[in-house]
Amino acid sequence: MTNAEISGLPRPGAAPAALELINVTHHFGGLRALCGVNFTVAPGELAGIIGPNGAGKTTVFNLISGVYKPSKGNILFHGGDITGLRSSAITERGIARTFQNIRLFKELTVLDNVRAAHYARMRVNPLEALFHSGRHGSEEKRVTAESRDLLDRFGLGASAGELSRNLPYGLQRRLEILRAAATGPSLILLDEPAAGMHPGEVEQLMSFILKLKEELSLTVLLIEHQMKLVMGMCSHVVVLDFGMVIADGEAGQVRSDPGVRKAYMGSAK
Amino acid sequence: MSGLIEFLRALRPAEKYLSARSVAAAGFVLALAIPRFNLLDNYLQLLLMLIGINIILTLSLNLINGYMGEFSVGHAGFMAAGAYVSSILSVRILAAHSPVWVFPCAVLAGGLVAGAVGLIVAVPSFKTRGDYLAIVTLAFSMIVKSVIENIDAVGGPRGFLGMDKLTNLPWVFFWVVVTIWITRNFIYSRFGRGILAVREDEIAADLTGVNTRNVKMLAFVVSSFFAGIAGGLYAHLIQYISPGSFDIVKSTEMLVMVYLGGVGSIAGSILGAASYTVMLEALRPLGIWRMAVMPLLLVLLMIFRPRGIMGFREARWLVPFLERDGGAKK
Repeated sequence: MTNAEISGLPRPGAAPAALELINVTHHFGGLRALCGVNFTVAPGELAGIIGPNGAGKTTVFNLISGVYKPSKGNILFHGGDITGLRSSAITERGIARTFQNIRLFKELTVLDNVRAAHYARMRVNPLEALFHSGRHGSEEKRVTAESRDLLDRFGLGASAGELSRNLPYGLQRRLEILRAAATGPSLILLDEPAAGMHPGEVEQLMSFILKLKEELSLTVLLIEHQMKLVMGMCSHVVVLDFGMVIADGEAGQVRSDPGVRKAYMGSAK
Repeated sequence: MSGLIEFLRALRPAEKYLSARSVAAAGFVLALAIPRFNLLDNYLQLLLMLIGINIILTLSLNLINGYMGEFSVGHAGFMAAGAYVSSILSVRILAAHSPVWVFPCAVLAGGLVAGAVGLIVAVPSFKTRGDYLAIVTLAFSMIVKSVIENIDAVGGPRGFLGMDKLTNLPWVFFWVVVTIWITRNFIYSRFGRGILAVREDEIAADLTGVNTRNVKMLAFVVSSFFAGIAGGLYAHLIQYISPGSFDIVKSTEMLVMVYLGGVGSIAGSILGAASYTVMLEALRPLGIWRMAVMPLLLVLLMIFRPRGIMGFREARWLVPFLERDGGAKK
């Protein structure tokens, strides 16, 4: 396997990748969390990041979504540089994400969680909002209808009026994904969507993610520990260990990669 | 407290006959009739006006402490800005025998200046995340107090007087309705969901596309505007203001009213302001000791009912029609 094949670099003349990390390095004080990370995600792809605990997977998500600024390196989104932008600006450009530990707006209803995500795409200025005039009414109606439609299509319509903290765990996970989808992204980052789920639930979640990806034509990048989910869904897998990419390619190749086996099992058989 | 809650529960069946418009119309008729036909004695009228002013203050502070989940302890500073600006306008610039529309303009000007001051406070405070707002607003209210104390033109520490008693029941009621209406509109809008999202989880709000800094600044400007309005009304009711009227005690009073009535609730703000104002008057026989009741009340509230009477719940008639039942109506 040549280097170019491993890192999935685009062929000359091809459309720009949905997401491209170029030599991204990040330090927390003296601790080096990521070191020269390169990988790309093609448009429409369902890619996965795996790696042992502390490998830097969530840090990658935090850098892409603007929670941290990388110490070095660049992040391109459809060819445009998004390094160091505000989180809300990155979301506005079309990258949405979920969190490892669910971070819903707990005291808000399910519907309002989704409606809040329409913030950046609503055309209402402060005066119109304060006087409920102008575009406020039509925009509220549009956003409410779109949010309801999204909830109905993905099985949360019946709980629209409930407080989100009262939902069962599995539905909270789904709501968080739907909230991210409601920001109108083209790329969605899912941080351990199946954490804490039993095998039956994982199956359902997998078909939920696939349906969402198809219907909203999304590119998906996910972090996951459950190998069943990663190997069952992802066409492209990136393996991180100690802040470095140790393998990058098709799921099958990555599984048989000796470096990966060593990182996971501690020996290279 | 539990007696009050029971009483409110008993009223619930009657609630469905209420609408915001009918309450406002009936209230306005009453507000005009009471002073005109002397339906209540002067003391009770004064008490009603104080309740109205306190409702405006409580809603103003609730927007920040309840809905947005930040912590401001310096709202008396914005009240002072509104009180002094409107008083200077009505005493020095607009003549005493000026027409009737001059007073609302003076009050409005006080509110606008307070809003502008709010923006100045908000810009540095919201550059960072976290609990800095409490410290910044505390410092701000101290600055306002000492600035006024050192300007001789407005009386310095002796205070400022000469305002006519222009605040009356109809005007107070008018501004209370405006405050409730605008606050409600704000909460049930794009930006309102933004500040609720900030309260629930600021990082998640940012990552769902909410421009957290902008919504926080907007909420803060709206809030300080209304604190300024309340200041103007207060100045033209008591006809005397001094830096001491707007110290930390005043800010603490507002906090008590917010946490008594209920964080994140308009109905709660109305209840909190009304019951606190009445209670403070009822405790007058205690003399100076009644001021010990206030902090004690705050401590007890935090222990036994940290969200107040109506915490995070809203009276149905105050919710816009399409938003009732959690937006369940289509």
